[in-house]
Amino acid sequence: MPAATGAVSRFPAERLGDAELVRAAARGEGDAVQVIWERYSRLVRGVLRGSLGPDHAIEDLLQEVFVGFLKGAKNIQEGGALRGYLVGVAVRLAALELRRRKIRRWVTLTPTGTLPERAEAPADSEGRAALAALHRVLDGVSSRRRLAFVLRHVQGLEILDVAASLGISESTARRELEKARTFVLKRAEREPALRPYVARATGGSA
Amino acid sequence: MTHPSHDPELGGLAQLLRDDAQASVPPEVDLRGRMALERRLREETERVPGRARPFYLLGGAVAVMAFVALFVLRMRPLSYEVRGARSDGPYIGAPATTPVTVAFADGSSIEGAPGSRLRVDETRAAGARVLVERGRAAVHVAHRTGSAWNFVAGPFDVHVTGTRFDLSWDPSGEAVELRLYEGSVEVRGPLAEAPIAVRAGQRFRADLGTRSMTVNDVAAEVATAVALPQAPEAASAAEPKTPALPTSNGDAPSPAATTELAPARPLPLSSEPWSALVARGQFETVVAKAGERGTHDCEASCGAADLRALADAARYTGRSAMAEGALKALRGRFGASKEGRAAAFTLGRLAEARGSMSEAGRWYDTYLGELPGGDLAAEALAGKMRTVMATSGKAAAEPVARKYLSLYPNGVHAQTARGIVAGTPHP
Repeated sequence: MPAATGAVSRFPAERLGDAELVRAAARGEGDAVQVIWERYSRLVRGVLRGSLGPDHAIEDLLQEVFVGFLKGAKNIQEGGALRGYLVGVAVRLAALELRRRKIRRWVTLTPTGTLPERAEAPADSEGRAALAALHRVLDGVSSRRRLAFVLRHVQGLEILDVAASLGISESTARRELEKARTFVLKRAEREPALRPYVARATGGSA
Repeated sequence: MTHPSHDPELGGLAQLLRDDAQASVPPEVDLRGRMALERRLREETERVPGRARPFYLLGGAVAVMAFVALFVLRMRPLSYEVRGARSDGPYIGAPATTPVTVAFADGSSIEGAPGSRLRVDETRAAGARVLVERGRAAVHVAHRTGSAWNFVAGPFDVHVTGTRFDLSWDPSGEAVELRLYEGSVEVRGPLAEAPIAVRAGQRFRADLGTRSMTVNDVAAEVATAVALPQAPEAASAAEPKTPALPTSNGDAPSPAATTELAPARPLPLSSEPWSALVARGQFETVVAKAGERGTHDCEASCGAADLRALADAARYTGRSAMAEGALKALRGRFGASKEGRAAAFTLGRLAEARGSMSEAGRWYDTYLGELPGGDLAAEALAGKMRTVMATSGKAAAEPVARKYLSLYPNGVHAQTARGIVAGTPHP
């Protein structure tokens, strides 16, 4: 048997489960925080971007989500539910941002409530126009309904997870989703840039 | 695989949102976020208090509250008001025909010229950090004890305590100009290791393309030119020294007035990502790290973010050949990426700077073909206009100028384009 060298190698953080990562992050271990970023920043960014569209605020909100996590890591009881925790925080921040936008529109700081230059929208102008139109349509629904729509149809969350993220019952989540769906389909048909996408979905009937 | 929420009617619409939500972000954006989080973690860790009895904690809390109550008003970041334009968050864009004024609570003010773009990046209790992203800004900083202001134009950082000056930045020409009316400032930038002091009545100009800087006494129109040392590859070619910018009366500065700066000292190497080093202005460190690794090895094996950072660092320190090598490697190995495609524009700028107009034109065409709606499309079209003019004359450049005017009637090169259109005899 080879002699022991005395060196103790640490278990690689990237192989830890979420619960261990949360405990390690609570102890201030930078490696664990980096792995959590690696594992979930894309998801959280996706939730924010799907909810708000391309916007300079997204990277700031992403930071807020993770900083909030760092501050509260010690108090997280179920580390295994890290994904749901981060999505929940992102949803709450997105809802706040949507409210801020509405206020900006009311006080006419900008006509649309959005920043003048949007970050990294799709490269093709047709896709950019369609995406802008779709966010215009989504601006017409309540924040909760919009977030339910995004969590279900963009992030692919199950209804129960949508309900948990929004802090509502499953039946309310179903109602919100159905109302959002009906509204989006109806309004999308009135947006020229979205017609091809609706037509594609309904087999050209729209 | 079917999406868990697959809904045939919503299919196309949901996919549109999904594609956008899942679009990858540029590596430097992700890196910035990761580094900011790391910084916050360090701060949080350092803030962890030692074991203390509740009695002491209570006493400490009372002391902290008293401290906060006493100083909160004094330490509150400066507020500011934007007049004459719309602002969203920190971004302030002056309309094309009228100026915009940013008035700070301490009496300091900035007037952005028509068409300029500013960003109030950070406000502090005794100052702010303001980026002049494009155009000219007339600045008046009210002098107060402990005030500290930074004005950033491209890679140049102007440190101010109380003064009045004009600062302009031309992002396409990569040229900065500072004209000081009162007080004194220090300018830090990639062309000199030490800060450059500029006093009232002087004008500082720097051009990254020609790697030249001048400090002029505006009143006497006597220029003291500061010529920079040649990059190693250029120096070895035994070419004449890069000329300093002309003085305000249009003459080249007197050779007798030219002072060569000492070559930059090698900087200690760091393990930070290169893009982070470039973001902090440590261009020499990036070049040194690439040299340590072997420039050709890096071109063959470095990631896209490192190649991009190396190209920037090399450009900012005047190593055009090294920058070209990195950019061509970026295109060769990551041609389909956004960074790879954007490299075509910079290659065009480099070719234009060394007078290879045909090659520059080809690179601008490549950029416009690959990224017609890209951030630099206006500059690429202007570059094409210049290169066609240089290689084939005004008549050939006219359609390009017309296209520029139709797309960017208020663009920074609109005047040049109008000149080309007006000066061309119509059939």
